[in-house]
Amino acid sequence: MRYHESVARRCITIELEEDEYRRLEALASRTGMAPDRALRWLIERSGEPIQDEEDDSPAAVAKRRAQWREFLDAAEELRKKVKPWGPGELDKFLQEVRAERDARP
Amino acid sequence: VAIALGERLAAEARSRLDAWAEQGQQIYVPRLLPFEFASPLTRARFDGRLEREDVDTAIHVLQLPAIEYDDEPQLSEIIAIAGRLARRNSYDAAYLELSQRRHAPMWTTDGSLYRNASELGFDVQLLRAVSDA
Repeated sequence: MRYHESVARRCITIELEEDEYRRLEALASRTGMAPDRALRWLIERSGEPIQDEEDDSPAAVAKRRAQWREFLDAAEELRKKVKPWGPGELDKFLQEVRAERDARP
Repeated sequence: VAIALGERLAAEARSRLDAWAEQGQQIYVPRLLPFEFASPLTRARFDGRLEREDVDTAIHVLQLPAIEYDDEPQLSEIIAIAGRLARRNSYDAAYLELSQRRHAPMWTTDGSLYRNASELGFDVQLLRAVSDA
């Protein structure tokens, strides 16, 4: 059984036998941890280094920067098109959203 | 959302995002973010602060590759976190579960969520306006 977990930009892939996966699920069930957390806990406890597959090559970083610039420019463009909130309107809106979320059935 | 909709925290959010952009950082968000974004957009349309033809511009922002949507929500963990937060809904817990699973801090403008989650040991950062600091 193949188990893959992405953590931040670090990825680990390990092979688990069926019975190992069942033990992992049992551990998760007993501890209340999600299976991926239980797996990470086991790996960290074993002292095995987690392979860092993050791509920090100059090309990858430059690509991410370009994506960010595109995102921020687009967000700024949108902001120019939205008229600002009136006095107190934003706080009132946020309170309404929070109240709707927290409303009891 | 703060930047795009001109909220009072726009300058602080922009400053933070500029720094992340320079570092080439990645932002992870739960799939519920578009609906969080849609809510103030809907209000902006209702209030007449956003023209209908500009809604597409807003949708385009959400589709840009700088934001990575998470497709692996651990629902049992989300419900457990909501319980620890004493929340009756899963919205805040969804962000915290993602943060926990990705081993990345969660940023929020919500002071009460920040205090509550911090006390429970979550890695939470508060985005605050200079005037609030």
